[in-house]
Amino acid sequence: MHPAVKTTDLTKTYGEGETEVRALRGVSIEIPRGELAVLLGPSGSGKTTLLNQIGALESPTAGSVEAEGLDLNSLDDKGRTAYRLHSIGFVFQFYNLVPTLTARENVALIAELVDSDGLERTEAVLARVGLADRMDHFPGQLSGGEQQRVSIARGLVKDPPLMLCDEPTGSLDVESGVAILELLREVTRDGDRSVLIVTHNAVTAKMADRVIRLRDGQVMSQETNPSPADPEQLDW
Amino acid sequence: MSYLSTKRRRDMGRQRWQFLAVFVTITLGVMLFAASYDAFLNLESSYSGTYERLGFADVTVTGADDTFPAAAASIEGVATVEVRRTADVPFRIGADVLHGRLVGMPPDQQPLVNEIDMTSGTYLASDTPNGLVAEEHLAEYFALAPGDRIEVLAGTTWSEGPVVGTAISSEYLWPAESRQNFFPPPGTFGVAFVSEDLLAAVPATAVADQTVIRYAPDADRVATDAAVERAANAAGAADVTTQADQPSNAGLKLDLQGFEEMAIMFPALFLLAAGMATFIILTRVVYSQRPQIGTLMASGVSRRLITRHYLSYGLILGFAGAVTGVILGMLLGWAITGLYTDALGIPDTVRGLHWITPIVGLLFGIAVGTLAALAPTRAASRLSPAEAMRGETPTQDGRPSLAERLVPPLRKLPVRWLMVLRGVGRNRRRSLSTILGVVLALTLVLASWGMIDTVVNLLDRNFNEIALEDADVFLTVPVDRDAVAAVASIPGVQRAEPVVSLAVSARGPDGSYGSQLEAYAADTAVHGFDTPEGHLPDTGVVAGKALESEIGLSVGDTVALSLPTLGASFSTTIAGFVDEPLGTRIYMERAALERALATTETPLPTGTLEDPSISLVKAIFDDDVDRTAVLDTIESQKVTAAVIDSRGLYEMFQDFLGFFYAFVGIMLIFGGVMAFALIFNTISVNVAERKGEYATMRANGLSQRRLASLITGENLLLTALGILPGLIVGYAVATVFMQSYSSDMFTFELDMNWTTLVFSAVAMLLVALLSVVPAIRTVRHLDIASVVRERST
Repeated sequence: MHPAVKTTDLTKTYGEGETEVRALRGVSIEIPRGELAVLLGPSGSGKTTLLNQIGALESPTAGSVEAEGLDLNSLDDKGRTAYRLHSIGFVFQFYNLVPTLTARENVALIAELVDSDGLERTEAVLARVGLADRMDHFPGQLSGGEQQRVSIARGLVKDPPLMLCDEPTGSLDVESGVAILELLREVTRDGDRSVLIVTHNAVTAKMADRVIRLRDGQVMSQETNPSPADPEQLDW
Repeated sequence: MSYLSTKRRRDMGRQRWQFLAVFVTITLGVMLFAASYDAFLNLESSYSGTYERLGFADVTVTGADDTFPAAAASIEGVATVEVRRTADVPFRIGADVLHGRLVGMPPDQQPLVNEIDMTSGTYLASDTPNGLVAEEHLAEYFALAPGDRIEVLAGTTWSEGPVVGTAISSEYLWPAESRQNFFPPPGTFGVAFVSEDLLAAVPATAVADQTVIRYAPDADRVATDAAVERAANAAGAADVTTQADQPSNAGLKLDLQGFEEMAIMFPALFLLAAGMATFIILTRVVYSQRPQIGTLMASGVSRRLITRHYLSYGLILGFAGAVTGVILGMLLGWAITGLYTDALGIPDTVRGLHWITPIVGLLFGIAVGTLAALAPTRAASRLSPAEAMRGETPTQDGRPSLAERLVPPLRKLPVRWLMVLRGVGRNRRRSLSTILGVVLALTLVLASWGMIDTVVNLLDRNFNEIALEDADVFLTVPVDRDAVAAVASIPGVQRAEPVVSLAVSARGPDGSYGSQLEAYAADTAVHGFDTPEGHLPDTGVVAGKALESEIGLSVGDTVALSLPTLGASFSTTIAGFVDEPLGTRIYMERAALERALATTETPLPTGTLEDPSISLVKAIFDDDVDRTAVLDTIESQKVTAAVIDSRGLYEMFQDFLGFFYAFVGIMLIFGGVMAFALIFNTISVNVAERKGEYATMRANGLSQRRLASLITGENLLLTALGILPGLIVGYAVATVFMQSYSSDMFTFELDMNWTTLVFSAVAMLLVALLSVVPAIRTVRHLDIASVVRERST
């Protein structure tokens, strides 16, 4: 069985000459299926760059990324779009919901891209993230936590094997943040879905199955956590 | 603060295409104003210069008795009174025959009124009593030079005279034969100035006595006009034509009026569009710079300085666009004036520096830029620094679109199309500006295209439904049954009819009107009448509908007709009006005219109407016949004095259609630029604002093609929303625009083809598609990875 993600000697360089920045320097990691992994590191450590490589939002300068048995380097733009559509669910710090669409419609917009049964799945997913009675609200009528739930539902509705979350609690208060982490923890429990959370908040690491620490574009450590804490127990 | 200037420069550089679009729109608006207004002022000065120099008559009275000149001279405000005679007779120049007009002039010295401007040769001299001075249009068309000869049909014989010179006349700057025949095709009408000797040979029925009058420079023109008209009527005048009504001058003034209207309407459209585009882009600039504004304020920058800073964007745009527009416009106006006076042969080309043009042009541009910047500037200066610095932007409200609320089943549409529908209402001001851009652009296009359509259609109607003859045949023998039959028997001629054509003065409750009386056979096929019966009435007359407004006549009223060349007058009833595009004529059945003339004070003898100076033969040719060959055959007949190709104007116009459509093409381009500027700016701002959403959708697997179709769909929908009001407003403006040209000389009622509406609408959709291209390119090159991490602004 393939791991959810495997990177090998991944290198990413931006710019040239004096302005060259080496964001990733030979990063090799592996995230097995069904795990919740946390990518930790200070600002500028390369964690978002790594997330972008795994999410096929950027191409590496050298090295490879394998996900779902695919070598992402071999994909053209169309292939990368299809990969993101079917294999990846994104959650961003700033939700980026379409303000003119309701919660249901924001999720259905993506569900429709996958197949025609999107609407039924949309309602189920929104119910699962606790928004059964808020589906027809527009983003402007939802709290930040609720908007992030819609954003998670938007990622989940495609039923992707991998959820990539970039600072998902960065804009939320503690209570909402905990709720979101609980939700992300929970989504790894159905089947073998993996979740990769990028954060600079070390506390989050306690709830992870696997913690990868990055610094200056290099993996400093990669360890598993035999008894991950419940998000509620985290000391914020 | 120099750093704020640097910031402004870089802001503008970063959004250079959007600012450039605004700049181009302001430039075009101001340029059109400066060009058309300067051309208007220059041409007005050019005409005035020529009129003044040549002593153009302030009023011309035809057919008054001998007492009138003295009476006119005693009227307050009248400076000079002269009498002269004119005669409309066929001319023959080489093998060509045409309608001619002889204008009597004193030999050896120019008249005081209506002097002519000699362009070659010499003025009339008493030692060459049969000499002629050819009017410039005639001379140019037939390449006449001193020494050439013109033949004049004097009664039934041709008299010949030498051309002694060529000249420009203020009465014929535009060579109109009359208000009824304002567009004689080139080569079918000409004017020659002659001494009285040559006129003496012309039959009295073709000659009209005229009194030409000049006013003192300080005369009260309205009062003097009225006094002269009263005196002329008392002296039995057949026609009183003021300078304003003189055919050439009236036509040229209409043209000037066109320039004046263009100087207001077209720039107004552009400047309104430019104002909207400026408003949109500056609103966006201020919105996206909220954190910067907050930080500046927190750092001690005053609200006044913030106001000045953002206002300066509009001011600079307006000023730059206006300066460029004024310079280009004045150069264009300068060129138009020269081209125009050259084309019309106006001897005095006056190109002055009119300070009003740059001043008003600059004010227009600056006002547009500044006013459009006011609201965004106000918003910037009223920001709360603490709130603005947080970088949080107010969450937009969402709600179902109006279309969904009106048609609930629309909510079942795929969500991506709901997104398109709701995108329209997402920022109403911005959407309205796109719609307005389409409305303004369509107005510009339809006003010009409608004008061309109207002219094409009115000429089609005139030559295919009204003036159905192919040729006007003038004979040297009485136009009796045999003579008409002889013309009809010529191979290629399908039908020939005698038609009476007489100068007439019609008097109604509100005054008199000089026109042409035409009398046709009851079963005429050479002229179509759009009366309810489709033919002429047995009694009474039908008249061009302008007589209703000109002299206050209605159906059933009695109208007094006087025929100066016959010295006869009679009264009859108005049986109806006809709506004819060219001229305002009076029509009656030939038998009815004969009966009326038999009852006048001095009954005219039988056969009077057969006089070849009164009647002509109108001929219709067989279909698909070689028209030139038939015209040549008719011309070669011994009894033919002149043959005029009646369809010459129609054919000439058809030849120029390409030129007219080039004008429409230019207006389409201008309209396209205007719509493009607004749509492009709106889309750019929309895309900038929604970058985060678009990037997130892309990250979630939405393909570039689908995203492009969403953006395109929303903007096509907005454009489509603008099309219907645009067509309505454009049609209404075109109607008003055309009506402003309508007079008794032409009836310009808008007659727009439906295809014009369709093509204009399609053109707008194409412009919208084109405007979307840069936005789609932006989205295609969106750095998804970084945009998804940014807070939407």
